[in-house]
Amino acid sequence: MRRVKAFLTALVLFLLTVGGCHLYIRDKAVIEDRASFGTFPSEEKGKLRVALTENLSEQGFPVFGSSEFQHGTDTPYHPAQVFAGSDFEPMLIGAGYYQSLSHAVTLASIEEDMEIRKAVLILSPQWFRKTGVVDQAYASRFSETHYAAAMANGALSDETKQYISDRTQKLLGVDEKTQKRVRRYDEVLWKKTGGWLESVRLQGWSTFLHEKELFETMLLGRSKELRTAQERRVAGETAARDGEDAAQSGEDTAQSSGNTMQSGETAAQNYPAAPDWNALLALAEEQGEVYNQNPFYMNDDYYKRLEPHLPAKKDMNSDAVKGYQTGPEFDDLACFLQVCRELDIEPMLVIVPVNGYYYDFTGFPKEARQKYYEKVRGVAGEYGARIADFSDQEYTKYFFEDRVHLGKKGWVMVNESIYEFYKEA
Amino acid sequence: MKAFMNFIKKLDERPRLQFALQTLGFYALMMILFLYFMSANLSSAPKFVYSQF
Repeated sequence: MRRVKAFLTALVLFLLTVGGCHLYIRDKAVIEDRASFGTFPSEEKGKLRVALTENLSEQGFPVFGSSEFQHGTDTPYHPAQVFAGSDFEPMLIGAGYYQSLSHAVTLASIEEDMEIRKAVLILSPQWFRKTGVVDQAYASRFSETHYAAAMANGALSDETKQYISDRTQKLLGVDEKTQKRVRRYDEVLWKKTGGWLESVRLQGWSTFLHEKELFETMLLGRSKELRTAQERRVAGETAARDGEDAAQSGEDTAQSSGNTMQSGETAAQNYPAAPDWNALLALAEEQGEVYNQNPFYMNDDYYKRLEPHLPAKKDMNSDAVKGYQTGPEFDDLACFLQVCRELDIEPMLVIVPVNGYYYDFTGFPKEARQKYYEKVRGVAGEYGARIADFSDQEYTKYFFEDRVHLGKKGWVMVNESIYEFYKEA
Repeated sequence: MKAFMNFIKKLDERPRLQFALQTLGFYALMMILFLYFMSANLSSAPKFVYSQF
């Protein structure tokens, strides 16, 4: 009997502690420096619904993408640096292998907290491989809280939910436990066919996930990675990674136009409102002339790592006449645009090209690339989506960091297009 | 071992302390479980590693 009493006393103390923790972390999910958190590239952030909804700025909108966010983070061209101190505070969502379908789910999940009804999707050509999104990749980046919120979103049509559900069920074949729970979300939150016991179980699980997200958001907000990103943003210590000399050589250009990344002044001082695109392009050109001098005009450090693999890559894609033109990703993209349409969100698709010099080397047919761009334009046209089309930049030197990821000039141009989209009424 | 047994016997003589220690033990156990579930990666998805090459 004494033990039971001790257990019950401990339980009361535990519940009081958990309640206290809840009150404490509830406020901590709102990150003090929301602008930095928004441009902080993190795979984890995109999965945490709480992290996104609590930190979406009224001066920005979601920018969905994939691995490009994790590249060039220490350069002055990455959105984190470019928009530091500007009047635009985007929420970057995505990391490697995040694709149209998971972004459609995320958008349907967070839309109620978006003040500006706009969204940008940066398309990577590799998403459009014949296989579409890889099942293991989708499963590893799947967020139950986003999915549940999307299924509970009353503004989303049954057809769209059905498409999302079918695709998700199929892709989660590699993760049966989650697949089972997803079926339950469908029944309880969307079709309303689950019994009361099922509803109570799901409610309990959802409450636990919500608490867990609050906790993880608080930890992410205090993570070393975010602190580093904040410091980089504030100090503008970026271009140094490409070489102190390059930074020095670009200094004149940058300083003359107010972009003093190298001087250590804050980015906020550099950009009272709009970033100086001409200065950034000039800096990109200067740094590219020093640090991207290889046959593919990509970053030299990446080229050095790629060089040993080159013999195997020569003409390896010469039979890809239908490359990037078939596969389920186009339907997933259409689903994303359908979500935008149903939720009254204005989308902009950013068509990122491939590195023409490298793709020519691998023999990937130019015609196939052009057909891919055309097909994306076609899907965008069907939904009246706006596009920022960079397909004519395949051979722009220093546009790429590597084979496909945006580099110096690429980021400047893409950032500018996103900023212009933001500024439009 | 002997010291431990003596300690347990002494606890029997002091029921309040015994109760406090039992409560503390249960509480610690619950908190450990709570913190584990809050911070653990509970995803059952197979690992997927992003590779550049």
